[in-house]
Amino acid sequence: MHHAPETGPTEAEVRALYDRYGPVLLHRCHRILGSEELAQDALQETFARVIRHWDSFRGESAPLTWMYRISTNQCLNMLRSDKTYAGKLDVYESDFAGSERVEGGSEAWDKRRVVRRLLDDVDDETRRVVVALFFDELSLRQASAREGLSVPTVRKRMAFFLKRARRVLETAPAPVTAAILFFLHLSGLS
Amino acid sequence: MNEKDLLHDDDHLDLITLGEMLTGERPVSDPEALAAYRAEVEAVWKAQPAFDFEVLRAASHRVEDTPAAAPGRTRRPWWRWAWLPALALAAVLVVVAPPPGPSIRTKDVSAELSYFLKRGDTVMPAPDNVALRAGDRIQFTYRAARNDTLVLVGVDGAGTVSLYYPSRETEPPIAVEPTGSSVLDGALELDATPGTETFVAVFGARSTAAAQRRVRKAYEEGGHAALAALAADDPSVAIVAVRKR
Repeated sequence: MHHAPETGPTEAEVRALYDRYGPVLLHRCHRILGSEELAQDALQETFARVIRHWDSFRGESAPLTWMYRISTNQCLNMLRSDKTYAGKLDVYESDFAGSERVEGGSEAWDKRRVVRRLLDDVDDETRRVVVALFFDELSLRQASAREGLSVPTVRKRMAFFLKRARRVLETAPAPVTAAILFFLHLSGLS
Repeated sequence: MNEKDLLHDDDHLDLITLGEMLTGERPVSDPEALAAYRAEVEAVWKAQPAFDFEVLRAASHRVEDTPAAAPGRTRRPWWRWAWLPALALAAVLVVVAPPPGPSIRTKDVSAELSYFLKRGDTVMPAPDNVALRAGDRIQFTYRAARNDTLVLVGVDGAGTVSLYYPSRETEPPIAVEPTGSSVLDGALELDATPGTETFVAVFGARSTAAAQRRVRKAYEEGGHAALAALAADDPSVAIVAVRKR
């Protein structure tokens, strides 16, 4: 049995948290990042911070809320920093062994990938709002409460994101434009 | 992208609430929705490496000392910078070889070679700035300019020349048609040989053996740079250069 130095948690304490909250956190990180590998990194970083800040964490009445916030930070950092990895590489999937042709591949785009890509182009507050509204599927009021923003501000951030999305459409390279247009077509917007 | 993708009613069962239900932080209000959510969570969790306290504790020592209750922007973990050497190499390769994006090389006559990478369950187009590794699987795509033939040869970091398409030197080159971007049958699983591996597609070759000899000769004369030069000089040759770690 290992024991962290100073006032850190025991292995048993961390394992208990990991077993209880790890699956939910990993699922959410995977949902945001779209990459198994990055999600695992984000989960590791989240638990590293739990250990690092154990003294303050142990007093939390809602550990999951605390860890959601930590993991959100981590995921957004990864999306921002690993633009090519998480944003660009993972936006375009196809059936690897299946199709004989890879013409365009726009059918492989889905909403999460489009949103993930567009998150590269907005400010941090907007990112958090979009994560809350889109990935966590919170209502405006719930997102407002969680992010500590007014409902009008959340709505404003959402509108900004949608406006930015439309602007990206006008400047994106042709394949990207085609793919997003395909998505908009599916959404009934175009 | 429109508002309906972002707007949910207050009574919509969100992912946060479902997570709280699954972890026992909140009473279950919708067993059916929870069961579906649980299945999703368990599917993702299957691939998670086993719990390792020492790894987590070591990682905790690298975490910057931001307040736990109000975490700010986190510094990227040190291992996330491991791709920097690959980036440096890619910057060099870009000068002589592939521009970014899935279309690695575009010729005047539109002959192209590219690939898809499969790592775990994720499939992605030819990635920029990412070192490949043993076990990664790649499947090639090509775009022929006309009814033509194709021979695909690889030269790995140790200088080993391998014939991939067709599978034997005694076989004729494979026939290709100008029908847009097409996928070559099968996928290659990368071995552990580190360094640059260059895949060379020779279009229009009449003999598989001759095409392979041509690639080998170019490599022996100037290494991977010579293969890049070959592609730059001859529109019937396209290359993909990858970095393996």
